[in-house]
Amino acid sequence: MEKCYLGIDVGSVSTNLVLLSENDEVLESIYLRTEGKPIATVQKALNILQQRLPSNYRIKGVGSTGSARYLTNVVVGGDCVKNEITAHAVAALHINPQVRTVIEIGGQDSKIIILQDGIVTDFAMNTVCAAGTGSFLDQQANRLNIPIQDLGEIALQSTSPVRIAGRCAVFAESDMIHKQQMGYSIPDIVYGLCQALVRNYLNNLGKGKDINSPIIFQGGVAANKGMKKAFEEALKTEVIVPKYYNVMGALGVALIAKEVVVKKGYTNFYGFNICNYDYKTKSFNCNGCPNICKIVEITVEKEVLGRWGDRCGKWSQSIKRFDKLA
Amino acid sequence: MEPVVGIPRALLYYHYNWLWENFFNFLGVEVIVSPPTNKQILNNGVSFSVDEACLPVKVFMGHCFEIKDKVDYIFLPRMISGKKREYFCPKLMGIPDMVKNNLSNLPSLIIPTIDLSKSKRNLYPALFEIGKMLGKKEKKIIDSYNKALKIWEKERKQKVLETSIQPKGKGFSQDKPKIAVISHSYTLYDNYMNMDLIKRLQTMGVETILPEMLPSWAIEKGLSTFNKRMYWSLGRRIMGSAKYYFNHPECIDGIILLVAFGCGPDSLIGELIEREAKRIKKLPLLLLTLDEHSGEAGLITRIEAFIDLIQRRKKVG
Repeated sequence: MEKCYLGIDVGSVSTNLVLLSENDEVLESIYLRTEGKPIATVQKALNILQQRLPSNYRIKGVGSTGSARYLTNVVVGGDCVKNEITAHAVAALHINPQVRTVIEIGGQDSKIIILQDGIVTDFAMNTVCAAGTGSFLDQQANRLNIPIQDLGEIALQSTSPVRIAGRCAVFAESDMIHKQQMGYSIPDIVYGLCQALVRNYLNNLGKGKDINSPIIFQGGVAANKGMKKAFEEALKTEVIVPKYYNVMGALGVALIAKEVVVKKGYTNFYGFNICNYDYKTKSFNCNGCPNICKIVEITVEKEVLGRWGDRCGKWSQSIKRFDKLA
Repeated sequence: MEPVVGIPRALLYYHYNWLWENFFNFLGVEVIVSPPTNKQILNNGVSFSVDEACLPVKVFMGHCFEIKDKVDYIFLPRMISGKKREYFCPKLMGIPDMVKNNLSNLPSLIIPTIDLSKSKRNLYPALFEIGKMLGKKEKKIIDSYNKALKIWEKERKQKVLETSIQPKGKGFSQDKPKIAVISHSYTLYDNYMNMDLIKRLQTMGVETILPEMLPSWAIEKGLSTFNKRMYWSLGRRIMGSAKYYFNHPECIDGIILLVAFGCGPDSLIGELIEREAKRIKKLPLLLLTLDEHSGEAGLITRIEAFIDLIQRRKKVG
């Protein structure tokens, strides 16, 4: 029986699974769109994984990350929950132990992680603005009628990129429309957009940070070759896009899960049968005090699995232990 | 019937709480303090404030709205200066006018001007003004103030924690990360505004050090290494404690700087501290900005990652 470890990264746009062997090799990786249904997507992804998994492999540990990490942990019976920043840093260090800078651009957030001698020394995450993230590229590709996969190739055809205002997604869009109306070619506009995003990223997140090579560029947006080129031009150095660039968060948390489980000696994983359960989430307002907290409740087969969202703990601390699936 | 004085639980209340409350109590006046900030208070505050006000001022407006119908007076001192050559933020000076112009159906307002920038003695006319409004005699006013001051000063001394300036590991368990959370008292002690930051850190196993736990000589010592005279009274504590730790990085594992969006002095002080942290490179610094739109998710991700960072550093040594 071969041991393997599962990392699940449920982000705003994509849900990624990575299955890691005992020797830290990636056995399987799955990339699905979350489409606003984190639990159903995790179930779907586990279903796919179950079909692909050779019968002599057993999942010995599960970790979750991403914005739905706590929800996922409750659903699958995870062994560890890690924030995206640490998960991405661990994965980047696994790929290249010398890495000094991690550029991660995902669906709705972007991060920069600065490392030295294998330790994170500084990090930053985008705050209230999503101008420089994947969702924006996605939207623009949609508007230009270009499949998102082709955006990078088209950007590379550019000969003289157009300067696009990248400070704000709304203004960037109107600027792009304006440039289109003026008759600039699509590749020049698309590459101009990439440059604008890179400028925005470096001004917001990279502000005051020492960006040293080796630089690893990961997250869904790293698929876009135009973005890679724009980063290389702006930083005047090589930018590495690793093989599993789009599932690095899941890879990182799988590595962490392995570490946790080896120490702990057992896994909490409920098994693949969770795919068949009917999970329901609902939210309601607690009227216990003027805070009027919005409580989220997740139930499976009419039994409450977890609740959160309350400030005082009145709801979150009243959950019964759920061991039917264990 | 003794009059009832209302004090909004916001801004400088978190600094002068006992002084103000006890002063009125010794005068023989009933005091009502607005309840701790909640969603409704914040929402009211946001809707009754001008856009450019900082988050704490917006919260203050919400507290005024909350108590205005329950009291005979609202205590709204115009805080200009508490010490020679030191000043409060202009928004604090203007708070009485903001309240007067943005809220209607207000009870009587007690607005003494506290300006001790020239002389400490300027406090007395202000105290008499308060007393006169409430129909109290001068001797009683001074007695009440002195008694309240004594209690308040004692209270503040008790908050000082010797371990705050001792090397980490002494008095604290070695594996627990020791983090200084630096901010204004009205952000640090308002658990709704800071989204339970302190409680969250403590449940994550962090020893938290707040600026008030540092003895004042340490703050002054920190400030003395700053190449400019800091004239913001509230900024002194923030800058001084940060500077002290930059000079003594062995005391703590990291600093979390909590900044309220729209705060003028903080926009400069925060930047100065951030640059210093980068120059010194010995203490990890996390800058958190709070505003009324802040989501908890972003805050949690950042503090989790920050604690991971610190724990990794501790492990490597």
